[in-house]
Amino acid sequence: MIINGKERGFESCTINELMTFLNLNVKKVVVEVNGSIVNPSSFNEFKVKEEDTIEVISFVGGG
Amino acid sequence: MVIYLNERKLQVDESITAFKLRDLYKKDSDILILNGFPINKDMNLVEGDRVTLIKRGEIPSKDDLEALMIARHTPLVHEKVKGSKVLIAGLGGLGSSVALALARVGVGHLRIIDFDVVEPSNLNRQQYFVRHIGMKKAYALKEIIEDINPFIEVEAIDKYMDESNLKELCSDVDIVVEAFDRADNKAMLVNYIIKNLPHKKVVAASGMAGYYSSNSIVTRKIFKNIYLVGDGQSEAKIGEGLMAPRVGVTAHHQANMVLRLLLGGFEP
Repeated sequence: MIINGKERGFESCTINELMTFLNLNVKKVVVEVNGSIVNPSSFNEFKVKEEDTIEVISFVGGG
Repeated sequence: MVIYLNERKLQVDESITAFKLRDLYKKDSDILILNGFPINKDMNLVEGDRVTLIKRGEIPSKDDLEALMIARHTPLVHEKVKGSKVLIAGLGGLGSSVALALARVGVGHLRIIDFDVVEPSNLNRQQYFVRHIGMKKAYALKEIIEDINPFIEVEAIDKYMDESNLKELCSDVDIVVEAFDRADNKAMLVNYIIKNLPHKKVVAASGMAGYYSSNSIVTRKIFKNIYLVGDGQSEAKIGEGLMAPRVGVTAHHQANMVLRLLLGGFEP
């Protein structure tokens, strides 16, 4: 699985689970899997696979 | 021959001098600017010269002011931005600065939205004045913009933006500027627009706290129509606050990306 350009050794899991592994808050992220943005309402069922390319934008507070 | 007086075309006699022109049109003016430079001795005028006559402390009429302001806009830029509509979501350090930059450059319609009031703690980085403390940010900012550029339309909306009203607020604008404070609101807006208004352009921001190098603030294109400004990591927290310079750098990156998009440039 490639996450933000780096190869990571995660196995197939849901986006919710992946965010937990990455220590990210699901309410603060935009997730792109193989070029498409995943709707946050499906984070708990959308499965990412080992061959997927994933981009995660994690917002931080301040403005 | 033709010259320009206060940015308006004027037919004058070949023998005219700067002082004669002043005496004819505005005898009481005490500053005479010829082609951008103040002069204090009389000079001959030639075809195409631009003369500006100013009386110190006098506020120009609305028509005169508009002509003088338009003259400072880059040709073709002004026409394009005047017809455009930009929404600014959140009017804190980012939003208030983005709004003023876009107002100065002449973006014709600004929809500025925030639910909050101006607090003393905002003055370290937001564009409000002491007299605005306690006032709704949307109305305070509209007042400031009208003092800067009275020739644009400003729609001040006192509202908390969420999924129930985003579509209605965003659907008719060219660009949405995400300028919220909270990370979850930022992600919500970007995710919502990608799903529900997929062609809308968004310029968002993340990571601008502290006084790290200005050069770590960048503008990136993160998805089709979605741009993100910031260093991506410097979160506002206790011990590392938001400060005017770096928030201002970020806000002006956002404003410049908006301007580029309005003028047809799509690369960050």
